[in-house]
Amino acid sequence: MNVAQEEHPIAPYLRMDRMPHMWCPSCGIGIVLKCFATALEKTKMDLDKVSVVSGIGCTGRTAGYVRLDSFHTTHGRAIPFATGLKLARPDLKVVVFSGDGDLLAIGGNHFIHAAKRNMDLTVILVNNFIYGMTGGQLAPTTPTSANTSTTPYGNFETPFSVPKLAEACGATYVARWTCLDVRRVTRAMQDALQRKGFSIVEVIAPCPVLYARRNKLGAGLEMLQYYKEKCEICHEAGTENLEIAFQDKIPVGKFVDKPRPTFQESMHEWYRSRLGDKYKTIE
Amino acid sequence: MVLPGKGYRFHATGLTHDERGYPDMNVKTQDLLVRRLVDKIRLNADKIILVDERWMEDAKVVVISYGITSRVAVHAVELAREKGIQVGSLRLISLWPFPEKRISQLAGKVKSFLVPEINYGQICLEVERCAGGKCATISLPHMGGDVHTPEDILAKIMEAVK
Repeated sequence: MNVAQEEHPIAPYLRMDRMPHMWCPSCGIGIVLKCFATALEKTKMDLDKVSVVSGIGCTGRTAGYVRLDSFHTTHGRAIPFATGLKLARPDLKVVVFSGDGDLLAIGGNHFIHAAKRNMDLTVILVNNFIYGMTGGQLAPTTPTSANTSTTPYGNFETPFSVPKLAEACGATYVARWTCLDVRRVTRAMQDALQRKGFSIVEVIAPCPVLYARRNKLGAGLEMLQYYKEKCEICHEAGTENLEIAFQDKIPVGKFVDKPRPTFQESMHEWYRSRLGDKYKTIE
Repeated sequence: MVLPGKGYRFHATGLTHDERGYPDMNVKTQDLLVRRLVDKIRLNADKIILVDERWMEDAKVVVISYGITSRVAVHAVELAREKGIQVGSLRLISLWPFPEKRISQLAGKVKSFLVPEINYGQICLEVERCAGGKCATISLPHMGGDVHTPEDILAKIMEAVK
């Protein structure tokens, strides 16, 4: 068969009637989505029982492209929506798929509380260091000195280190990779999907049109070259020293894999011990 | 709406969307969507509107209140009734859709509406619009910090029935 007529390997996981997608050429989100579809395939999950929830932004559009029960919620509210869904339907695997601005700024408080509670959610956080869809504004992850549309003389703030933040708040699985490393991203997603509790995979991805262009870093390909040159795998480093300075080394790896009871497990155990047979629940 | 996890694999978005639930940002889809959403309320207004009417049979003045103010307003009407004043109370439980029909009907029968509210006068404008000039609408604003006292409202009722 002509290659052009062959079905793409991840087509069964996508809403092909919505293609082409709206992401810019050489944006990294498509790669992350491919990794996610592959991870679903490899884990052989019942796709009727997987739900994707996203917020607003470029990565937020992912929910609209996956052929699963999918919810494109309001800005920053992917985690609270996902929390509600998981509480009401504990049989579902709930995946939050969103960007750094959505999850860490507008939704920052939800992020820290869901990690604190150890809500049974898999969070895929695509970090492109900037607000893409709204026009290249400063994000909570923008490296110090980087130029954005709201910091035209460079950013003087210190960015969030996602793994450090997640671990400090109580996440039970934390990994960071760049979208250059598709096999490791996929494997981390498989791990995260199979863990119980608040698991997060941070994927560094290029925003060629805003972040790279404003900072004169070339196009997506040059960004991938940067990832290739500056990535350092440091599984055992601990989350203390994982900051990413502007165009400097990117520490990647699996940093936390430490199970503890999930919100629902703790809740059921607590109320059963207090209320005995009076406690009725859905599980 | 179907439930997630049942195999439909549907998509829901807060963006302007078409009948499949897919984002589709254009004037035509926006027009269809907004009309459909608003008409869901408008066409079912009679089933949605909730009001609580008291002492309405012979009322010459009707106090129209909502929210926390209605606790005071209903008591003020009670006090007025004890004095033999012909006053009724219309407590709005739902504000949208607005009970236009009922207020318009009452406007034809009473002398005035009295609208106490904790702001500089907002719902009194809606009431005035629905009254359509058939009776007077008196605003009794209160700037907040606490609620009206029953005496404030009672005094205004006494003025209105004169």
